[in-house]
Amino acid sequence: MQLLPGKSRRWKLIAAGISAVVLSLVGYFSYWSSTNAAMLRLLPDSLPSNPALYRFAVAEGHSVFNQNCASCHGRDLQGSQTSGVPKLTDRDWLYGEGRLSEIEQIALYGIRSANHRTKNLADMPAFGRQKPYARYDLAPLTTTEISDIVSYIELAQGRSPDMAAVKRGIDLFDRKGQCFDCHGNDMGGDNYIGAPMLSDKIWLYGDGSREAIARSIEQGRMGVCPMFKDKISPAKIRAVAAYVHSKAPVPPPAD
Amino acid sequence: MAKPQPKSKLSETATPLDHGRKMAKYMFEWSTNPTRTLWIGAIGAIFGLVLAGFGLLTAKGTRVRTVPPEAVAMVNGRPVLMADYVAQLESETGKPLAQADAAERKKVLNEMVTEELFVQRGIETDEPSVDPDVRNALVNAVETLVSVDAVTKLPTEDELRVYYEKNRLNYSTLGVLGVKDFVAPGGSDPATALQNAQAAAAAIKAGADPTIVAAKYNLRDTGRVIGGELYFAAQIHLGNALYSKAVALKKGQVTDAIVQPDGPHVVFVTENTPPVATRFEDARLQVLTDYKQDLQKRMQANENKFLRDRADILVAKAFQ
Ligand code: HEC
Ligand code: HEC
Repeated sequence: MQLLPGKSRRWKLIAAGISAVVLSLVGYFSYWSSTNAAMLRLLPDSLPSNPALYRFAVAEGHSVFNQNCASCHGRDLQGSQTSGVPKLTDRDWLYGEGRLSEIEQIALYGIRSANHRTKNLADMPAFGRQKPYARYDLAPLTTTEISDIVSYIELAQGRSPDMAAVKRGIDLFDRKGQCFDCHGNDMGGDNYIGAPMLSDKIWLYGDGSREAIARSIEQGRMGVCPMFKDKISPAKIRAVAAYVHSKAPVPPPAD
Repeated sequence: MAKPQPKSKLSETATPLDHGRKMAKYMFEWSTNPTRTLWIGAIGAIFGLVLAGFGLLTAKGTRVRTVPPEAVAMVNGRPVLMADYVAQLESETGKPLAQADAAERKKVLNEMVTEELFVQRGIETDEPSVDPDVRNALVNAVETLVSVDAVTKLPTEDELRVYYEKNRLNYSTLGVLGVKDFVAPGGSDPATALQNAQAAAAAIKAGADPTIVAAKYNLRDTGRVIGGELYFAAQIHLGNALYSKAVALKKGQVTDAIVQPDGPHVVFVTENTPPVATRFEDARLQVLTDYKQDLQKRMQANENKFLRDRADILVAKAFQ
C-alpha cells in the first residue's frame, strides 16, 4: 500500500527530469539558432566589433575548420610549403588583406574552383614548358634565363647574387617574362589576382632556396582551395571565416 | 492499476470544473449543428479558392514572407546572399560597404535582383537549349562542378610517388641548343659553294675559329638561332634537317655540309644541354598539380559515363 504513492512520485520525478532536459535542449537550440541568425544578419566586417557574437562565431568556427579545412591548412593553420597551402596566421594574404568578408568569400567560393565567383584571375605560368600559359601567349624561358631571374629575386631578398646575372635578370623580369605584370615592378605582388610578393621571406612554395624559386618559375603554379558554398551552411561559413580571422593579426584600420 | 485516490475536498466545491464541462457541452452542440457545419465548410472552401487563385495569378501568393539572415533579398524564393552583395558592391564601387552611400547600395542591390530575375526568366524560356553561349557555359559549369570534389584533401605521399613513376616523361627540364648556322650561298655556282662548305666544316673540325673560317670560305651566318634556345624553338628556326644533325652533337662540334635549297649549310654547336629528368623531390609540386588535374579529368569521364548509362539515347540506324 505504501509502495504506490512512492512509485508514482518516482514517475513524477522522471517526468520532471525528462521535461527539464527537453526544455533546456529546446532552450539551447533556440538560443543557438537565434545567435546564429544574429551573427548572419550582421555585415561580415562588423562581426569583430561585436564581441559576444564574434566569440560565439569563433568557437563554432573552430570545429568547422577542423572538419573541413584542417586536412589541407593544418589544425594549427600553418599550411604546408611542400604542398603550396598558405599559412593563415600571418599578415601576408595572397588575396585581399584578411578582412572577415574576404575570408568568407574564399570559404564560400574557393580559389580556382568551379564557380563564377571564385578567385580565378591569374595563374603562375610554367616558363619551362613550350606553351607556358593557357590564358595568353608568353614565351618560354631557358634554364639560364630562369637562373638569371632567380638572381634578381635573390637580390630583392637581400642576398648577394652575381650582379651580371642580376642585370640580365632585371631585363627578363621586365620584358620577356612579363613577371612585372602580375608580381609588380617592385616584386610587391598583387593581392587582387593572388600573385605573391617575391621580395619578402614568406614563400608559398618551397623554402625560398634558388632551386625552389627556379622550380616555381619553370613548372608554374595554380593552387586550388575548394568551395564550400553548398557543402556547409551559411552560418558555418560565417563562423569558420570568423575563426580564421581571429587567428591572423588585425589589419591596420582603413583610412 | 492504482486504486482511485480519494477525491480531494477541493473538487467538491470547484466551480471552474463545472464551468469547463458546461463549455465543452456547448461547443459540442454548436459544432454538430448541420446547417452551421455546412456554412463553415463553404466559407473555408471559398477562402481557399481565393488564396489559390491569387497565388496562381500573381506568383506572389506563394512567396516566402521572410528574408533569411544570410540574405539581403529573396527573389521568387531564391536568396541574394549578403556575402555576394558585399563583394559585388566592393568590386563595383571600389570601397567597402560601410563607406558606400545609400544610392550606391541601392544600385548594386537592384542590379543583383535584376540579374536573378533575368536568370530565372532565362530558365523559364529554356534559354540554355537555344543560345550557344549559354549552352557552352552550362557544359563548362557541369564539367567543373563534377570535379570540384577531386580536391577536398591532399593526396598522400605514396599516391604522389606512384603517379610520378607512371608519368616520368613529363618531369624533365627542357633541352637548350645554341648554334651558329652558316650557309654558303649557292647562287650561280652550287659546286663551288659545296666545296667551300665542306672545306669550312673540315677546318672547324680541325680546331679553327668558326667565325674566321666562315669569312675565309665566303660563308654567311644566317643568325637563325640567337643564343641558347629551347629545343623546340631551335627546331622551328633551323628546320628539321639541320636541327636533327645539330642536336646530336656536343658543344664545340660541327656538322658536315648539309645541302639545303638556299645552299649548303654548316652548323657549329655553341651549347647543348639535353633535358634532365627531374627528381621526385624537385617535381613534387608539379606532380601534385598534375595529379589533381588528372583526377578531375577522370571524375568528368565518370560523370559522362554515368549520364550516358542512365540516359535514353537513340541513334538512327544510318548513323550508328
Ligand atoms: C599571369 C600572371 C603571372 C606572371 C606573368 C608571372 N607570375 Fe609568378 N605567380 C603568379 C601567381 C598567381 C602566383 C601564385 C600561384 C598560386 O597561388 O598557386 C605566382 C607565384 C610565383 C612564385 C612562387 C612564390 C611563392 O611564394 O612560392 C614565384 C617564385 C614567381 N611567381 C615568380 C615569377 C617570375 C620570376 C615571373 C616571370 C618570369 C612570374 N612569376 C610571372 C602570377 C604570375
Ligand atoms: C584541398 C585543400 C584545401 C582545403 C580543404 C581548404 N583549403 Fe584553403 N587553400 C588551399 C590552397 C592550396 C590555397 C592557396 C591557393 C592559391 O595558391 O592561391 C588556399 C587558400 C586559402 C585562403 C587564402 C589565403 C590567402 O593568403 O589569401 C583562405 C582564406 C582559405 N584557403 C581558407 C580555407 C577555409 C576557411 C577552408 C575550410 C572551409 C579551406 N581553406 C579549405 C587549400 C585548401
